[in-house]
Amino acid sequence: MKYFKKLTISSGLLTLLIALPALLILVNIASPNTQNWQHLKDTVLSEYVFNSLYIMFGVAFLTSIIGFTTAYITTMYSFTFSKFYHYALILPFAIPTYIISYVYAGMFDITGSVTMFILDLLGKENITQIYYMDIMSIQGAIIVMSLVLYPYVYLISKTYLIAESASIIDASKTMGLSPFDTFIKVIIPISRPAIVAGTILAVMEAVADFGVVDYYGVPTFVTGIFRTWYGMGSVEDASKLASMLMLFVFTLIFLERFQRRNIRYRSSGKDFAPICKTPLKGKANVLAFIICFIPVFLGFILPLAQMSHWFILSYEDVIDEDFIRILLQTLSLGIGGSLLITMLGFIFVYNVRLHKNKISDNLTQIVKLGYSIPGAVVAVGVLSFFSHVDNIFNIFISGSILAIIFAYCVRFLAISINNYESGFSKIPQSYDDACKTMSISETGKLRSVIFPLIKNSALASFIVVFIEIIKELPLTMILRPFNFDTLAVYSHELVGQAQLYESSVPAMFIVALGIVSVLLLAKKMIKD
Amino acid sequence: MVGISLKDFSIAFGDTQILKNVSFDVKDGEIVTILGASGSGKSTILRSISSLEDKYKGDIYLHTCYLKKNQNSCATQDIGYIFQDYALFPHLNVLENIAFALKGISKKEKEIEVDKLLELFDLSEHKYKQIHELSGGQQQRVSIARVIAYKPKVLLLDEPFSNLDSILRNKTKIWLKNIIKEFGFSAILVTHDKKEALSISDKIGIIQDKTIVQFGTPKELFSNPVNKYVANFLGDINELPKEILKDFNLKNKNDDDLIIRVNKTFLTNKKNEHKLRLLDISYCGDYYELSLEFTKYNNYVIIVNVEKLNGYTKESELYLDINKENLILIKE
Repeated sequence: MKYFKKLTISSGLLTLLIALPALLILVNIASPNTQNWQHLKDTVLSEYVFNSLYIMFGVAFLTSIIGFTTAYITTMYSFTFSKFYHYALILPFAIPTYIISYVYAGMFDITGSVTMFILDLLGKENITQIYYMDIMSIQGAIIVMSLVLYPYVYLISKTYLIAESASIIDASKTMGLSPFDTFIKVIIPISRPAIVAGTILAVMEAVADFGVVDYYGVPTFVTGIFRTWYGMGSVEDASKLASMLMLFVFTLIFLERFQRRNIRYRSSGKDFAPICKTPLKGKANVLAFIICFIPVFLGFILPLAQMSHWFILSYEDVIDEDFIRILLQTLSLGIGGSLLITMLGFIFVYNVRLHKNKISDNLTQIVKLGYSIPGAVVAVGVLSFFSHVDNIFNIFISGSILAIIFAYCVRFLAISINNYESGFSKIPQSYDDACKTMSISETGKLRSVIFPLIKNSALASFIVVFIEIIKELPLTMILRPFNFDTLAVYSHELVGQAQLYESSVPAMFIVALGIVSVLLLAKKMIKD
Repeated sequence: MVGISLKDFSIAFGDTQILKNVSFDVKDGEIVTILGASGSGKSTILRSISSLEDKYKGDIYLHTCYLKKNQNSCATQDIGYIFQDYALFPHLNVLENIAFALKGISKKEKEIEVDKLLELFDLSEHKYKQIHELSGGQQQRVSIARVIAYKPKVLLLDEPFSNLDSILRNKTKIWLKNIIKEFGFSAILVTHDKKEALSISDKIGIIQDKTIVQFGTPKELFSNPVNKYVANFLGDINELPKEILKDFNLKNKNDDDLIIRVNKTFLTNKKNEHKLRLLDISYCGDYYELSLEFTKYNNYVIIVNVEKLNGYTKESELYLDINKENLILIKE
């Protein structure tokens, strides 16, 4: 059999394997109603739908405003520290949603450090004496999620605005439009596709979240999946909820792709003139500085400072043999998983490069959908899939490391594929042709040309996937073997036991790794 | 001896027919240029000869080896392909790039071989440089050295001068022609540049409507083009009204078109039947390009190049000075 065919068959089989859990979940949507399902439907289902939609619209509103405003200001104007904000505004990405929710609860709940400080400052003794919004509410969940998810809108809008031609803005000026009119009548309409694309990504993350809503006591689809699975022990009903959530997410993806068609009306090519930043002075300079400072402060500096404080207070109690064991387990899971995913990602993208046909391309697109499926849904799908495998072969995979690694593959292969796609796009096809005309074997080509040229993409894939695995909470919680914890799960458990200070220790490790990821992203932005 | 031979070569991508019934031979030491418009399938011929495309119909022979049946044995290091973008590997230096395809010899022997080529190609001082440190011309020489290193019998060149500026292009063209002759390669070059084709080639094949419409020496093609497309491709032409034929008692049995090369088109102040009105004058540096219209015949605008304006202005009335020998009757 030809080398090429082997690669296509491997990609085909892997795609089938990776798509199976999602397919099993989707099949469940049509399964007959059980007694548990009827109970869910009568009692909490409508609440799940309402809360999920509330979070969706709330996060969409806040992230689009914060993300686009900051992107617009840092692209169009130069002001004090504007270069710093260019990258600093991405930093909140480093903090997973569940970790910021723990920190904000510790600071702003009834007995939180900031709440107490404000009460002291105002000379009040009781919370009832001041206006107070409970952070551990659905509104609180929306705020904390938006503080770390707005960079999706910021990044996409900024990339879009940078690629926009200054002549469009100049044209509106020559037609007598004021800066405000230009913003309303030109900038916002032409940026709409970017704003929507970024907002939908943020919304997808918010809808898939488990850590925040679980801790803040907001029932949503994801918490419902957990309750049905743990409380009722019903895989079928958990799958049914998961299938509804998956359909919901796929609808969002469809909407995003549908609206993205309009992105074509961006300017480019010969007429492209880069935007020249307008320097700001006086009040405008201060205002721009403050507008950009608020999200960086609330989404990164404040939580990191609070976490660092808690870390210093508690690390001696937390870092013991057990913690080292959890750390090593997390690292080995991360390294093993990301190594495997990085290798599989290569197979998929290299297959597309060699074949350039629709089949190979579609296989990759199917696998890439995995990233958009919420972790909890993937976990239920994988569990359901391995339950069948366990029953058929009389083995036990569903509660093993193998099941977790497989689930990571389903969820994170897309990241690896994206990295390779970007890397391979910079390697001209003529290199492959040159090797062929020089009678260099496929193995020789891989060793001497492809691997040396793609190694940076492979490394980037490894690092980003590694960090995603370390951060992943719901999927790991559902699938981890008995007595097997990761830093994310440990942090969540400590919070559940009201050990907020202690939870900051594993959280700090996760955030530190997250910062590495963001720095890599920033480096890529500079390169691009 | 015939180095490359194509017989009834046809290729299609999906439903789109790219080339059909293309046949030509390239002898050892001969440079053949395939000339055609962009997207006419010129590069596809090279890609098929080098087995980068294999879904074609017809036959390709490399010397006496039938390529379709013996793809691997025929193609093994017999073909040197020079890519338009040179396809030099950016992670390897000049030495490593040239030594890339050398097999079955020690590292030291490889270096000796490479050194010889570096000297021949005037690249010795760049031996350890990275590719991005070289100029376009140097990169091109490295790409040719890399191919010559493994001693192919056939050289395929895909628009090899397109990335060079005009001065470097001329210099490289002469150098490459000498190299090909010195090594005795059968070479096929594809280009859309007629000047390049005329100056470097022993033979030229012109692609029109998915096939080679004329194949021959540059002189043959220039002097006796088979149709207006070929004539126009190799040099600028003026189309003349057929009525002019009567003045010279020439017959036009097949109702062919009448043309004359622009460089054979002259003007005179002497009155004759072919009165022209000057429409426009364009300054072109060494000469002036005049656009003129026949007063007697509608829709015939011709171009005449003159060194001096001789007092010509717009609307000046002039006359066409025709030498019967320069008139060409040609198919559409």
